[in-house]
Amino acid sequence: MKHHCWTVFSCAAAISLGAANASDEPVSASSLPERESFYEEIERGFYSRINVLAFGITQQPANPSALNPDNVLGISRYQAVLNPRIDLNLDFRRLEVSVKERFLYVWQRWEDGLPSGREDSTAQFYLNEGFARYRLLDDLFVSFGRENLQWGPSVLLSSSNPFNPQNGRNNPRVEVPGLDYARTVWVPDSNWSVSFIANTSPGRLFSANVFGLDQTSFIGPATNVEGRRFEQSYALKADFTGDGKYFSIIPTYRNQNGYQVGFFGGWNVSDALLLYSEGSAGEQRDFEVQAGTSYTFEEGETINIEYYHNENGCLLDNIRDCFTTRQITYRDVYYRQDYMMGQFTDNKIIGDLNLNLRWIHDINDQSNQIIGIFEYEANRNTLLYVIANGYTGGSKSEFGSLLNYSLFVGAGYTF
Amino acid sequence: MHNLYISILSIASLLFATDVYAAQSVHDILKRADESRGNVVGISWEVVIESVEAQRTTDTMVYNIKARGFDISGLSLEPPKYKGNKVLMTNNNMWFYKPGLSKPIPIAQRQKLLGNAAYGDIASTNYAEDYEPTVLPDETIEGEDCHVFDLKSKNDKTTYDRIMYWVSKKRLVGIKADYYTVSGKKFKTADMEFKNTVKVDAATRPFISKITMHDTLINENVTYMSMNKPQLEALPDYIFNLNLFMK
Repeated sequence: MKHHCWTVFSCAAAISLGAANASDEPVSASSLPERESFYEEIERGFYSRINVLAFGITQQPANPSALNPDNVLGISRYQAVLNPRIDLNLDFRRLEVSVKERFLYVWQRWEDGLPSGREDSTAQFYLNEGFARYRLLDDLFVSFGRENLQWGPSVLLSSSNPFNPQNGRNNPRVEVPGLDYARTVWVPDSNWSVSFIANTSPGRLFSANVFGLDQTSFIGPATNVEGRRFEQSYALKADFTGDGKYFSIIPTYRNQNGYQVGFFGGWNVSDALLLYSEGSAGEQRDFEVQAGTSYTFEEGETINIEYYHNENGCLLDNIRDCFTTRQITYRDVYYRQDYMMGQFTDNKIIGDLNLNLRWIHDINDQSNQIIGIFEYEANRNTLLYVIANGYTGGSKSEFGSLLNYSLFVGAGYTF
Repeated sequence: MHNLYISILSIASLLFATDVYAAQSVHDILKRADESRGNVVGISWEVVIESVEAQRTTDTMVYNIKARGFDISGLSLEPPKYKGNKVLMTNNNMWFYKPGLSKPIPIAQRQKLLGNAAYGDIASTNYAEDYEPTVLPDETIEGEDCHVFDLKSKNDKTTYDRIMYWVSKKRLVGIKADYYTVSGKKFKTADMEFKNTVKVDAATRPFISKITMHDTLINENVTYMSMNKPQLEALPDYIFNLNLFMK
């Protein structure tokens, strides 16, 4: 982290040294050639990133378990995954086109419960994101296509997001599925922007889980979660960015669940301390709120503390009853009412080793999930990583009823 | 009492009119030096950063940078492992994004620093406006006659409480700076080169091309920043909008 910070800092210094302000700046012109060819223009606007991921997972289902007796959910013990990712982007005059094409090969083996001894594999090409954005005016954009549309400052989930509150922070190597949107963004000035967002189809929202690469853990499809239907939604997102603070409000209409208002905001109290909040309120006692803070020490280590309350969260003693009584919906990232999260992050903690430790505590049933994300920068192209999940709690608890542990070990090579 | 203050201030302003004039002149020098490091309407360039620790190059990064006033949008191009990383600073709010994170995350200004320096604070460096100068005796730096200014921060937006700044008399560009922390400790020195040129009001001016930063606390640590392909151009607000930020 320190080294990376230094390079970023250096970059910032370079930027800043080039960013002198002057309200009455004289008219200036570049020293670059004034005209460029069509090819040069295409080349300047083209961006590509090819990343090949390979990883293996081993996980042990909890036993006994109220939610998964005799492994009826079919949680595999071992998985091997190959996942090349191609990102292409062209920013040409008023048009921007982005394509994120993926290939996924998954092999699985079961050692627990009924499917014990079985092996299976599957492969698929898919488009996780792909959209076109057109700049009608310098302050007005329209776009259509598949995007991973995420916002908000929170770590645990993004409760202000009516489309997909899952933000993928628990495993940055597993992509959050893209959804299909039509979007208009108006940027009247540097302080304000207004977006109209319509979710036109679920995109990859439901198909992503069939490979058993769920972001929260690796448990496979949550087939018994109520309401796995696409819900068309329309949101108006107004964003204000002031001096050291920001605030957004997101009124939404959802076809099945009616109106909802989401919000998030943050305040940079000092160069080290951030405060933030996020949440939403809607019909049917639908109320969620998050509050968090982060503090960065002088050497770059950062701690986060976050609280999450979901008024609709399930308080039944046995987590299984939460499913059978349909108190859990497909949108829920966490199932209970109250959570605390603590996180410690330090990049370059030893040499090229990056570390992220996260502890999620279910206040209602006292179960815990502990996540360690270790990343080693082997060379200019290669990242090696280990993502370890440990779970504690009784067999009827949220975190204690599915897995004892999971271990995700892999490598990423970027061209 | 209020009227008394106003009267005293009025008399004082008349008595010190000459000093005010002199300060304006210093302001012009600083402003002119600032203009050789940036442009308010916007600048796009490629910044190559090489970090050397204990006489060994530990990393080289390439950033595509767009900057306007205090706002910055940067895309990492090299090395491949960092490709696609982005930083955005707007109105003193900062976000960082890297492929896999799914969304930009807000970061503290301090998080981007080495030691006590703050990224966001440095980004707001604007010597003419943000610092109160004290004129020191002229000095010669590598054969070049220089104005020497002791700059004291006027507000809490700046990274450094104090900067010693050497400005070439002939070229009116800042060629050296010493940076001090709030506690008064010197922790970084920068040497600046101006091999780029830009046209300003039809006149050719030298423009920043390289910065060599020495860490004074750990003497072996040096960072070289080469600024290539500077393109001065108006950068609209959308360049710095978070909703349009991700690739």
